Amino acid sequence: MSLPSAAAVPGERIGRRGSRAVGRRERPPAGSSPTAGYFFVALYVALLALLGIAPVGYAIYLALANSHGFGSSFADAFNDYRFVPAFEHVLEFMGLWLVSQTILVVGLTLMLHNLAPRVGAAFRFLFYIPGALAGAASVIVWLFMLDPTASPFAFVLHWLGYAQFDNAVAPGNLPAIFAIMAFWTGAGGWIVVMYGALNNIPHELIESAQIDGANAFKTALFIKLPLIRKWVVYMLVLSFAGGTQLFVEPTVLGSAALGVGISKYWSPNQLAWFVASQYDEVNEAAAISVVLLVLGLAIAALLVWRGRLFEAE
Amino acid sequence: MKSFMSRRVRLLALLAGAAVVAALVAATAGGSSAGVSSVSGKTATPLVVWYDAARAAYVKEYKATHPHANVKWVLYSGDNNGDGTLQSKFSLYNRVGWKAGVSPDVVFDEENYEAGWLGLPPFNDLADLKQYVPKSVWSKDQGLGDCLINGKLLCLRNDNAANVLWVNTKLWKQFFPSENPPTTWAQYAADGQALVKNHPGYYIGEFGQPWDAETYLWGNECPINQAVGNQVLLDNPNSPNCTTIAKLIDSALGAFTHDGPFTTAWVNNKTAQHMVMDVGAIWQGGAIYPSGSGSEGPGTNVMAAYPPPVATNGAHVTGSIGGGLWMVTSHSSQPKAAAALVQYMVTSPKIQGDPAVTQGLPAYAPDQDAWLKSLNGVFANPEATIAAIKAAAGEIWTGWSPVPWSVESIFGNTVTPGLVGGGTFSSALATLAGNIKSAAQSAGWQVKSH
Repeated sequence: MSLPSAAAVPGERIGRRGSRAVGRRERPPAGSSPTAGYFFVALYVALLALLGIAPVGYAIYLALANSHGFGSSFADAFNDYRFVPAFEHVLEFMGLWLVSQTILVVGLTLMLHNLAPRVGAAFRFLFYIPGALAGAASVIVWLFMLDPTASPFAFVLHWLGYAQFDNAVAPGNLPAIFAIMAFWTGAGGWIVVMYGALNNIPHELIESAQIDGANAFKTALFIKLPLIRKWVVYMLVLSFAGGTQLFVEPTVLGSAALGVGISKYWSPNQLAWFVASQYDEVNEAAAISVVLLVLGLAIAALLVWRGRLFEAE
Repeated sequence: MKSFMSRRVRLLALLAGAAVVAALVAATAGGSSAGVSSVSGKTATPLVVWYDAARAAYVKEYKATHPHANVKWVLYSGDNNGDGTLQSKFSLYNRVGWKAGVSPDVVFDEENYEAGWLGLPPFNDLADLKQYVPKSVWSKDQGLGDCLINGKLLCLRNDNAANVLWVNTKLWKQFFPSENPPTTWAQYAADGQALVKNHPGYYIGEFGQPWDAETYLWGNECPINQAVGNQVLLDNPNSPNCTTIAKLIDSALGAFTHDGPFTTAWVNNKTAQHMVMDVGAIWQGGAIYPSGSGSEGPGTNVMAAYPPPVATNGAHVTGSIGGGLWMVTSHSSQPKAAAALVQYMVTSPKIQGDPAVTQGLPAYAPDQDAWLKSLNGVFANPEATIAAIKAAAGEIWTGWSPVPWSVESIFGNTVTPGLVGGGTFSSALATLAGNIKSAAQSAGWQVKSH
């Protein structure tokens, strides 16, 4: 099953389990010169420096350089009355989203993998469809879904006691609403990725587990899950960084709710944009951005380290 | 002007108009004049005028009467719903430098408080029009509380959006055959209580919308958003002017609908047909009561305007919802020409006296009679309606100040959720005032509580 270039895919830890050594690194094909590789990497590095590293450097510079003294931008940010609520909102959203996404994506993928390939493919496609409506488009769909006077699922909203749109998007519901939006936008894509990872598990390994008496559930839990663990960690790293930077969904929802219930600085990223564009507080905005950066890097480092993501066999 | 477009239309405009904004970004950031028309005078620097879609008829008229004017017309969102376009563009220009012929000389703004945002620190981007427009002219422009800031005239009001009492005369006769519409807030609340008791499902107003502070608090001289000095705010929710009106509203809470005009709920529930009366802006008469429109109204022919209720302290004042401003930027290389254009837009009878060109009551008093004539045959009791509108237009309280934060958005974000969830106005007052205080302090203002 495993593809020739599967070095980076989770077949690699199999060796440790004393099974078969399929995880060895492939040598580059004979005769190919490394120059082309360096050229393409250099191109990427140049763009990364220009569009990735330089803005980060500028943000750090702006956050530190402030006529009111070193570090005062961070003090401004931490003392801003909108700062703590914005982070609370996003943490609540992340808690709901990351937990539900991890459990459901992994669970659904493991179940799909047990189905007949053709049925599994149909389901994978089905799960992927909502992901086609990403970002602003998904918010537009949800605007209708959440309006009791327009939604096809109005009966559910009425059952929950929501007579009008303003009830449905009450401040307490927003983290859950954004979690649902994010789940449907992202889960399908991750299921496809996880399924690909599961397909890289050598068939012999599954077979030998079954011969040893493992049922489907045990195979999934003790054989398949550990082998795709790195992909789960990878999903968490990317989701965490993306989730803390939530911007489009609350912004579009706020515009559509016509100023009722959701502020223009609901999330930290929105707050940074708001103070920079509306009050010319670029230093404070940069400080907020740096906080987001540090948070994202710290969690990524923790996950990479704990999840042994970059470990080579 | 935001108020003239329905909320639904605004939403669509907002979503679809994102492309327009993007185009504008490209046009202005690139320093090119893509998408704007420049008229003759190739060597001279053109005057750059930013206008919104609802002002397109003004531009057409201006071009017709000024064929040789060297003006670059730029269509933009109008800062619709306080979308912040002007703030972000102005702060970028302040960073990279204002450039004659590229950055705007004249701006039309749909948000009535924004002269206090763009004209104060950290922006300071508006010119004092007192230098260029004679007092004999600007003193006849009504609602200047939005423009006179620290002794400077930072804008001219385009239209007058004073609040009046809109009454459905048919429903009124049916429910209150022996009474006249209320003249005080106490009577207004008593009528509301009677309605809750005898005719549930009918309303004396809407409550919970972002602009309600401008209806009930502005209209009762409640000092929670009153500039009393340079960047000094009076924010006192304990003033009787605030607490009495809140208590009166609370006493009739069941007679207020939570449906917002132009929402699907408003249309589906035919809420406009259940409004026995409503304190609302002059423009609301033609915007939310027509029958068969998107708002499912009862028809303007049953609606009549009455004077707004007298404040609980006895003052004859009213609030103001929406309306637009004309501003000249302080970086303009030709402020005189810019101010002359603004003066023409605000005062010309060809624009302000013609209901086909402008939809709102002109703020410039001398043009009002010509415009008001168009209301004949539209509303019930046309003479009384016109008289009530004219009187209210001159009664806008000037203690509700233009400031660098949006009370509408604070109200919508912090107060409405509580109200929709069954809270009272009295309990919301402290929340509203507290959030105004935080916003003010964060914008560098000093806040006084008495």
